[in-house]
Amino acid sequence: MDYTEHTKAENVAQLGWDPEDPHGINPHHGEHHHFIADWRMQVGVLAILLFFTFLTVAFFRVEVWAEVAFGIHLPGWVNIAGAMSIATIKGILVAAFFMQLKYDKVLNTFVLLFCLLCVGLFLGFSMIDLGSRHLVNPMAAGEISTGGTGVGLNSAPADEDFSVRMSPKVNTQGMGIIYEARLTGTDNKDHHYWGLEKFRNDPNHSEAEFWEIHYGDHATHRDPMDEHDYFTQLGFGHHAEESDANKSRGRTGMTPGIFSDVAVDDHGAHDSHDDGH
Amino acid sequence: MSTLDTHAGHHDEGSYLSGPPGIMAKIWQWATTVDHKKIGVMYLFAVLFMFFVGGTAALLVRYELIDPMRDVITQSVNADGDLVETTTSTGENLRDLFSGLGVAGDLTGTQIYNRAFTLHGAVMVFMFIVPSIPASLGNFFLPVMLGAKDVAFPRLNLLSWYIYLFGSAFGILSILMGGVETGWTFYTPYSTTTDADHWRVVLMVTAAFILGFSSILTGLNFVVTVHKLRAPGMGWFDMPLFIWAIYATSIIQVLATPVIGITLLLLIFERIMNIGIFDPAMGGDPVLYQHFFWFYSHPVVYVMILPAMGIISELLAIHARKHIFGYRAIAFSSLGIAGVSFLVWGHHIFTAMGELAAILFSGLTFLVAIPTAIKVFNWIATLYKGSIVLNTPMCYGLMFLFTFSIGGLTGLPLATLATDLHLHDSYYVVAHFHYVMMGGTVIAFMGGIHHWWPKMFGKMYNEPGALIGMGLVFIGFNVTFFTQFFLGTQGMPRRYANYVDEFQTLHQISTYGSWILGLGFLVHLAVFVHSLIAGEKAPANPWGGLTLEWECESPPIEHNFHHEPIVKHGPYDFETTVPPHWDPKDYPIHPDAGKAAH
Amino acid sequence: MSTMTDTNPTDVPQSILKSPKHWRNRIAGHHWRSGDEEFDAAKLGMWLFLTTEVLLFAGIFCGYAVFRMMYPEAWANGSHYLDWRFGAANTAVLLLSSWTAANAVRCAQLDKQFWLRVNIIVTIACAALFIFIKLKFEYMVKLGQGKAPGTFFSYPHAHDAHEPLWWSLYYIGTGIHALHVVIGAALFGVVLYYAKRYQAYGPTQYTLVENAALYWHLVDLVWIFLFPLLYLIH
Repeated sequence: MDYTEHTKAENVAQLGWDPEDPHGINPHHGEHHHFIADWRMQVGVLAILLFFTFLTVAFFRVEVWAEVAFGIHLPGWVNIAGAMSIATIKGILVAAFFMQLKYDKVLNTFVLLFCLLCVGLFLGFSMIDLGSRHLVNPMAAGEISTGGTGVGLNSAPADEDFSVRMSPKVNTQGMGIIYEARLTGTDNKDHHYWGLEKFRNDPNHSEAEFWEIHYGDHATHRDPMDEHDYFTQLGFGHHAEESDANKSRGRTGMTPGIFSDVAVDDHGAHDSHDDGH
Repeated sequence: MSTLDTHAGHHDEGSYLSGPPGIMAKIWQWATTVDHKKIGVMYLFAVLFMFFVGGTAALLVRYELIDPMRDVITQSVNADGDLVETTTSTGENLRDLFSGLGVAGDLTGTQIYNRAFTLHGAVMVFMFIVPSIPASLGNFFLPVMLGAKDVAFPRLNLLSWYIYLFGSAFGILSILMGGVETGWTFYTPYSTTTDADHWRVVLMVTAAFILGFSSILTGLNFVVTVHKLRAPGMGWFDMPLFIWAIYATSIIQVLATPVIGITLLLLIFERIMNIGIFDPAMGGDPVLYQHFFWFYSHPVVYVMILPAMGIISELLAIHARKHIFGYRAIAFSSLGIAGVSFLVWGHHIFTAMGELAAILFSGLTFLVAIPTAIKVFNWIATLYKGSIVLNTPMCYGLMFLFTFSIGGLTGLPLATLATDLHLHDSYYVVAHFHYVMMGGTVIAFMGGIHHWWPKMFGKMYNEPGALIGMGLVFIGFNVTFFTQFFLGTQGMPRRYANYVDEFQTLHQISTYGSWILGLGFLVHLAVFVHSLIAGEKAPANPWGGLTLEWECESPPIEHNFHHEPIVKHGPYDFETTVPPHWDPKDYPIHPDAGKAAH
Repeated sequence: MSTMTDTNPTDVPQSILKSPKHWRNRIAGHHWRSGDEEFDAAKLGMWLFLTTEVLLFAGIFCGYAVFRMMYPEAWANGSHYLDWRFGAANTAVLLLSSWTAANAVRCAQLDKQFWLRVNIIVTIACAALFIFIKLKFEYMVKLGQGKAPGTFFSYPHAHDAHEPLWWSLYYIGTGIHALHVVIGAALFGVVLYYAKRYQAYGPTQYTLVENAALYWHLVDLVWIFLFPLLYLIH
């Protein structure tokens, strides 16, 4: 390396060091570098951001409406791509103008981009693993084994005191919440919730109006087996099969038998696993 | 190196160690200081204390493993002439030890063993090795080597020190309440199901969570300091390589540590509220925890090793009185390691992952070897034809080259999918990890402490005593851990308190080695205490270093420099520069030194 | 300088003008070469801190992405349980507060002390409104229906086994975000105190206003992504 007086002098200049004022005693030093935003620009950015918020909601509403009214089911990626690209534009606007990255030192932008790269790596590699378990070796796509806390939807729900698995709010007699709901028919839409029952019994409103409100935001969340389902009656049911509480995508990660001494019953009680070998 | 006389000179200042009279006033001064040197020294003693705690736990682990657990059946003839069989259990060494002390309770031998190795791992990783070099030596020397008066945010530095204490207090509380059995990685479902008294696990996890904040704040502080507080005349490539290493370390600390924050937070929620994210019964995935955990914990092994590499660059150049070979290659390889560190975490979960991801991660893992090997080759080339002085720092530097190379090369079979299937979770992994972390980081840390001890405390240490300690550490370390490569390849799984009889000889050798190792560190402790009490006064530049810390007095004054330093030569220009404060009777310098046009 | 001010320094009590905390009297820390350097460093430090916040939320986003990939039905159901109106209202509230935060910085730069305080107060009020909407119309209602995280889940009309997992991520994600809203509001509270008590921020010294605003914009940024992920994507 060449350490010449020339490069040293350049370095001194680059550091912005002022031999006349080496310790910044003068507080007004260099104040003129700072960017002061124009208020019209700030208002404009806010307006654009609010417009994009409206746009993303409108996009979502149109999609739901198309599905409910015409049974048009757009593929999932349209929804994701639309929402996330609008969110990204909004994010760039906030970072560039409100956070002033556009007018700031490039280093700060670089810091943010490098951090986003790390976020991408984190999400990307984790998803590659969890989404590709069965691709190379089909044997890896086995049924899920019991394990962990042994507490799940097959056991009764917990209450505020987590040691008690029986909830006084919904007494399932120790059964899994979904199983119990199916068995006793509490998932029947007749006993509905959301305080809409009153509305429904009100003679001023029609049955169709009730379901319109009920399913306004829940178009894809309905049970085709439910004969009370307004949209099923209209022939719009598209859920081919009911989801099953006891089924899940096959994944590895838990060696079968390693927790075989964990006794799982419907109450979720289990013996502590003795870690001694 | 020349200095510019400015009005900010502090000629009347005393050493940073001199405080107000009165013990309470001194304690108050240290407790409220924002001086990076005092904070660095406090960190130094804290991490050395944690090293002692973790090391004691390691000795306990080795003590348990000196023999397997056996049921010994004794046949004897009683007074009536009948044959009587009595069964005695032997080999539960820790249980016997703690029963003797009256603290074993109704724990089984294996439970005590699990707690001992978890204690060792958690203390050593979270409380010792992560903060060890950056927070102690880094805090002390990073601003000085940059020619700054302090780190960028001195109060944040103090805050980070108190967060460290606060987090450590949680960990110690958990240990005093009985410790945890999860292993330092807190893998689910161990950490969500073991131990009926779950507050101990929650406390230990909270400790690691809080310590993460300390790590983030230190790293953030250092990055800004390097960017903004370099002395006039110090460009990026005039920085000592220790600074480059700390800079790369700090980037990792800032970017990786928050992920362990959210991971441990989710783990605490999982433990307390059964939220189910890591629980397969709820549809969660325990392997997802491992992804989260290793996204932090793999980069963090480079937080552990990179500062050590920085120290080695300093030690080898200064004590061989030779310009470092390949300055830019070493500097960029530090950044390269930091970059690659975010791409390879999956190699910790090869056997739990899908094959596709495992193949990707295996390929990426081999990339780590490239910048690491660049460094090792450059260090060896630096030594070539150097005027090597075999003092303690240099011997530790050479020992680093030896043990770290073994550690690095034994990592390659673990990165290879096929061999990893045989070697994973065996003592081979334990040996590899300790060759890198202990044979790398701890050895370089010891070398760094000896190298900068005169500067930090203004006292020389006893060179023969330190060399004896170094020798014991070298022998003890290799005896302890080299045997474990054999144990691992033969099939001894890690984290087991018991084993088949065939492994006993190797386990015994390993345990005897750990005693030699412990003895070596005790010798070092004695040398340090002797130096603080009766060491001879250190000159300002005992080794002839050219970096800015040797420009200061020993120990440095409160504001480090009497004058604003201006850098006029590189940190390793031994051939052309007369070192600051040079005294011809201390050491010879290069015959051409000073003849360059300065 | 005087053309920029809307408050005449003679109107300000001498106790404030003479206070070492007043922006005209602030000097750089002893280890800095200039106040400008100190400001740049503080801003760089803040940006590095913001990266840690982004990576903290990355854990939530990663969990969301992975489980959405594994249980798309539960995730679709989950987003339909949420009312987009509250999400959109909160988005608007946060965008507005982000704007006032940016204005606060501008007012400090121009030494408009009164409008600096007004902007900070509006920002804090927006934070309170956000939390109010979140608690009153979302958390309380949903917890009352049994739509709770993990094993606390006791909503009897669930259609998918993995809906409790969705609620876990919903509560953790929005909960940690709400915590950041509270912290950001508290930070602005500190700024407001110093601005009122000492007029501590002005054209040459507004580091804390700038950093508090940066933090607030990040809180906004996270919500900009959380809103479509939780409420709109199905």
